[in-house]
Amino acid sequence: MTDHALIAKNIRKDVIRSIARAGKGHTASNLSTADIFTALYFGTLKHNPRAPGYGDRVFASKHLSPAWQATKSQAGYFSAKELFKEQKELNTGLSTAVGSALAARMDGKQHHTYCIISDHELSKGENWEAIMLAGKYKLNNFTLIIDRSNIQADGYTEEIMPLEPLRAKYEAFNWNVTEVDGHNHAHISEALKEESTKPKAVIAHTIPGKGISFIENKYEWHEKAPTKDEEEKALKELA
Amino acid sequence: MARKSANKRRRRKSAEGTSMNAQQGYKEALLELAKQKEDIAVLSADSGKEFAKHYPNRFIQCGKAQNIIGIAKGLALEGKIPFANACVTKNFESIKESANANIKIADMDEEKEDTAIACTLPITVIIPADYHEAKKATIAAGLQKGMAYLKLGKEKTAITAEKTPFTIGRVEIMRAGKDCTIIACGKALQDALHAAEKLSLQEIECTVLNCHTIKPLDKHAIITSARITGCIVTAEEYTGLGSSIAELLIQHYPVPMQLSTAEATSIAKAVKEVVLLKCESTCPELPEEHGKRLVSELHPEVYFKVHGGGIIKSIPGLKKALLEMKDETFSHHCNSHKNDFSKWIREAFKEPTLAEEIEKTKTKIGMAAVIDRWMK
Repeated sequence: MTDHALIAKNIRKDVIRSIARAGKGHTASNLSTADIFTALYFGTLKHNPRAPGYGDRVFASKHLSPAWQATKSQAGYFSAKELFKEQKELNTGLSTAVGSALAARMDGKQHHTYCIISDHELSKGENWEAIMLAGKYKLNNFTLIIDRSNIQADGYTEEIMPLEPLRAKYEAFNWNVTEVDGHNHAHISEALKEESTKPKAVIAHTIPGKGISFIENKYEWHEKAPTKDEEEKALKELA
Repeated sequence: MARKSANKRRRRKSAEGTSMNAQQGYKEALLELAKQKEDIAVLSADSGKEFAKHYPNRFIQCGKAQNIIGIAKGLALEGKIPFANACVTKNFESIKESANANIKIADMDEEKEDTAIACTLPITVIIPADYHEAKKATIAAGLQKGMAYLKLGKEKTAITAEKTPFTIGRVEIMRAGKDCTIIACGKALQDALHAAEKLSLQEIECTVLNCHTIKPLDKHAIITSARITGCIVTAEEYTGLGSSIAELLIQHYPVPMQLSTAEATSIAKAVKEVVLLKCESTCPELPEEHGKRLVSELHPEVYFKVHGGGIIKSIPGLKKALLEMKDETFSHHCNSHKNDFSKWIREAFKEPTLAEEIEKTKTKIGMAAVIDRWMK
């Protein structure tokens, strides 16, 4: 097993543990984004866990915080013990991420801003306002990674609010778009490294609940926490 | 007299100052602030051309986007001081989520509910009265940390002057009087001053407080003024001032209070009503508290005989009787030819000063207020 695969597995374990402990959370999305977070934090990202606030900026949706925090714990931002302690202050929201990139542009700062969101959030109008603004200002210091898992609480995104053709939508808003297998660390890293003169969207095709057989591809797990038994079963699969 | 003309002079002077409104004050202040601090950035949903001309690199045009506060939050995270055009009724969710960010919100919409809703959040809420105050408020908000919300109107009122002091969270005393406190903000401040001037002609002297910051309130000053004058009227064109002050007073110093809109006549009417309430509530307590001569009852043969029946035995009794007196009865005793009350006080009580003040007063409430003041 490669280092990245091991890290992603550890993240998934922590995701299962923390959501089971909280009794609520978006199990499927946090499992599907584990590989994206791994590829970002252990590949492309310029950062220093001992000096947070310097280097590249990362934003992610609030509901992805179990996977995000587990990744930061793996990267050395805090210990596994602290991971489960308290709710941490997070930088969330696509609009805020775009604002941060705009500020960096104003000051001529060299860092890059990344934002990770789930596909179902694109049914929210505010996000398209942010996408439009980033396109307008040609924010080439900004990358948005979309977890294209196709599910949300009530079913499949294409049934609830069709997003396709998603690639064409971003292109129409003046973005560069790359589509990747969201579980292939090398492909994600490669896509993140590509130079761009425009804001960049990486559409990462993923399997919801990836890694746990009885959660995979089931939209029922979008907003469901594992029970004690399910937690044990899931951790056994990841062992 | 001297005070009256001074008040008049002050008004005239500031009125000459400008024909600009609060929104223009805000825009000019941004240019001044940007000169002082290079972290100032402006986000505009369609109204910031002037700033963009001078500082194109620090200006973000968002069109009509509703996510302007989210964008501003990102700027604030990077150490910028963003000023954004937004409105609480449209942007509440994002404002609430960013309430601890260093964002300044300029609301130029006319919705009346905004200010009261803004007061539910842990942020600074300011309603400037005019061009000068908006300018000062904008600069002060830019220099302090945390979220500030400015409600900026279009009316070309001119109440304050360039040199009028301004501190966030502090009231300005625009006029002093002992009978009632009028607390106003925004355009209503002008109406409050008009009302106070009119009331002064009827011998009701009002304190007028300019309460531009409705959150956090200047608690000490407001409670002190409630203590001195014993009753309160609030005047506002929006919402939030009256309810915030009622909330404060009910917990710390309840006095008769009324909430008024921004019209001088409604303000004056409210003042008369609370003054009356105050007088009624203080009347029965007076005899024990005050000097014997004033409250002592007279010999029956010098009782004041009220036209149409009834007698008055003492000065507190007169005050009480005045508050209950019918207008016809009052004008029988007090008209352009005579003032029986003044005469009675002079002759029966040997109180020429009080008699003289009563002589000058032409209304029931005015007289009651004069007596009230005199007894204190």
